[in-house]
Amino acid sequence: MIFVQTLVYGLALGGVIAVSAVGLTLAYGVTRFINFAFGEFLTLGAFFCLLLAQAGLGLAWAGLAAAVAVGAVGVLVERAFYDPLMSRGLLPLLVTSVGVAFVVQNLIRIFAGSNPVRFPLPLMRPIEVGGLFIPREQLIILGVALVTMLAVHLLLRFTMLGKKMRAVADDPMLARVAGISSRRVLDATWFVSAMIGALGGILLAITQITVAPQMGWHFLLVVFAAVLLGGIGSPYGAMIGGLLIGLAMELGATYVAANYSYAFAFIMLILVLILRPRGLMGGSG
Amino acid sequence: MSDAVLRAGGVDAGYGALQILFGVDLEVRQGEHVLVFGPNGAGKSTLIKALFGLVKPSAGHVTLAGRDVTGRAPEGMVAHGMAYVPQVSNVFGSMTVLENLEIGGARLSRSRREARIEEMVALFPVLGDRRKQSAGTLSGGERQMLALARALIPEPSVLLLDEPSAGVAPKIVEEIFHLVSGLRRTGVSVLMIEQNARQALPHVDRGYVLEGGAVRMTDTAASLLDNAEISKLYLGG
Repeated sequence: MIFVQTLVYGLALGGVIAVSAVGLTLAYGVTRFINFAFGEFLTLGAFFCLLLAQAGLGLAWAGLAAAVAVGAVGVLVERAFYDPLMSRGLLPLLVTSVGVAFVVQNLIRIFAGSNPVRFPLPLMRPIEVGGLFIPREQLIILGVALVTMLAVHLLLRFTMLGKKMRAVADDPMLARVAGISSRRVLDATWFVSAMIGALGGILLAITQITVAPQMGWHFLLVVFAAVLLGGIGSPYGAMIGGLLIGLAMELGATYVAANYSYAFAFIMLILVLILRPRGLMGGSG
Repeated sequence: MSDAVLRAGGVDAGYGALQILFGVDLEVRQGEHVLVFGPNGAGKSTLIKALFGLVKPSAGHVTLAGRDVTGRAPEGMVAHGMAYVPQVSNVFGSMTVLENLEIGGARLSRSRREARIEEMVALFPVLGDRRKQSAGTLSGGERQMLALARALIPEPSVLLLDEPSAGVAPKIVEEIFHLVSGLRRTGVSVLMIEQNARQALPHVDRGYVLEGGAVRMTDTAASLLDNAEISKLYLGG
């Protein structure tokens, strides 16, 4: 009984991680640098959603609107801070992205205060299946995560934009030579990356029941673990990596030690990387 | 000479302080196939990059169908009817053959793109058999065909080929040159640079000898092949 319940929690947490990891790895695949301010897209998503919900919007609409708004923020951040540094190598970009992360965190503090705020979830009766109580929140999280991942899959496989994104990720020089304007593909990639990050942040707020200015920053480590586990730059790897990390964290917390759930994420990561150094799906990298 | 599709006039180019090309003049006429050859380090590769906008010429101009396109970015060159097939890594290895072709037609309408893909598959039937196959698993010759087809999808007026025989098994090289030669049917003009000039020259109309970053001479392919001095100096005997 506890095992099945843990599995549900693990899958839901895994869904949150997987969605966030897909967002991060998409931007990495196209730009080849790890955006340390990605966690702030999660935080912003949760806070925007909270704000809109407090203004009276239904939670689903608030979430969608927040995600789109954060997508726009992603494009702004890229244009203002990352794009001018693109030709200067990776280190300036990494340092800049850490700087952006701190600036955004503190901006949120100025407006929302430092204390965690309760996320306005309506009370929901758990679903009872054969003596098992499954909270609806977990099912909603899992559902949203699966739909998001399916949407990313459809985008990458069946739309011209998605194919262009994959082409730029595969070989930016050849994509240019083939006539693809990397400018537009970059904008679209940052929009999608930040938007998915915001969705991840909203799902995270639902699992944690609270939002706080540093929630995304703290969660970023786990998201990194999922990205690396799946093979950096691989969206499908990130999905699987996220689900596995979520399961490892919940199973570890339930059966070994509740305070160390983050540690289980990294034990999982280390084990996989010993066996497959490029990650589960990182073959062609 | 008003029928020149592509013309370079007095092109200087290089990398930073290092100048490689010195006042290169050349032209490719409508439907013509041209080979640029010369010793290693002659500047062939810089020339093709300067024509396509991958290296900005520091002097001179490049015109495409009478329009000055000097120093435009590659994506702009494609929009104006020039196409380029790089020497190595010229296919998207993580994508399928069909997706590679679709990328070539990214600027076209969906119906036009699909029509062009069918035309390319008719031209290179082996690609049709491998539509769903990942491009990374193709043989060297098949990759070159895919790269050619991808570049041809937007119906360029000039196709620039950077060493099409590189990375291809020796017995396939002749086949590649045949394929390029066969593109005459489509009316596309071709400018090709090749290390393997002896084998490439019989398949083109005209050749330019590039040495020390400047054009030494130009003549019809037949005359160049007959020229004992050229043969000795640049065609390996």
